[in-house]
Amino acid sequence: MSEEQQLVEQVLRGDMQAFRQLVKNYEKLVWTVAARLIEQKEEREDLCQEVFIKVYRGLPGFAFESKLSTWIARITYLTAINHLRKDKYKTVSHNQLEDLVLSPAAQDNPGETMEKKSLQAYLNQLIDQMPPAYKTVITLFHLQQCAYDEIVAITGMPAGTVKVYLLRARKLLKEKLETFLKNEQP
Amino acid sequence: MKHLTDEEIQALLENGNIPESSQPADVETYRLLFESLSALPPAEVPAGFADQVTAEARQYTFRKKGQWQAAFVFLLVLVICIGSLVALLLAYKNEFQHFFSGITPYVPVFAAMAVITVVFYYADHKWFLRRYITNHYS
Repeated sequence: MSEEQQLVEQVLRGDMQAFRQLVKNYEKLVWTVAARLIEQKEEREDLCQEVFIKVYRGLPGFAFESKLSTWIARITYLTAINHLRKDKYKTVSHNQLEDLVLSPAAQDNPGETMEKKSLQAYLNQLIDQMPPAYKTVITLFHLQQCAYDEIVAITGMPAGTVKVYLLRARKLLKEKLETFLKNEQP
Repeated sequence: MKHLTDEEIQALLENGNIPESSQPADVETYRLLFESLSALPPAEVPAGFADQVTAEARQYTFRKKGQWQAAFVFLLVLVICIGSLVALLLAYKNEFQHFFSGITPYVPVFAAMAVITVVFYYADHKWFLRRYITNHYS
């Protein structure tokens, strides 16, 4: 029995310290995924709590057909997407990636706006401006080092869609990065 | 040198290879992008978050226990009421005979409706668990 399974077994027996450890193990994953999708800090905190309560309630039905991290990330993604659906005005459709190129914030001269910020901060800002699906695949692939099949399992998107979103998002980021680097050069 | 598309450059970098191509500037920018993305720090978790969630989960357990107790009391009262009613009906059987003969033909209909309702709720509950809570993705 793996360490992960042992921890789940302990939680199922009612050991709250084991549940605390489980939260500790996966809180960064949940917060990283949620942080990309939910802007407001208070809403994000409530959402992350809600995710772990869903995990607690759902653990008896978890059959280890996937990694625990994949299952928790899926609950996070679905909870965040449902939250965005409730606040429809904040939702951006999947087809609006190209708008990023034309949006005033993105058209600003990066050399000026990001004068004192690092390349990572600039990338973070660009990712935050992307539609939710693009943010999610970029975050899962690069920040969480998830494989394609895991991203498919987490988001429920077809494998082809995941690949296209990643390709398009990276291509756009690369173009922005080129402009950023040109402006950085003396 | 071979000309590589964006897709090809990305695929090679994903596998940890530095592609050789006729566009070294593109490759270098992509390489820097991959490196920077992988180095992005994870979101900061507020201090005490795990304790807060654990306390919430504990409260959830207590609430759930309370709900079970409430359900048990409700069922107990229901059983007492139904038992009293049945006892009353049996005690005054002759007086109610006319009434019973009227509803007897409909008993299978009521029973079927009850079974269908229970099956529907069970199936709905199972579907909800599969779709949203457990790890069955298909």
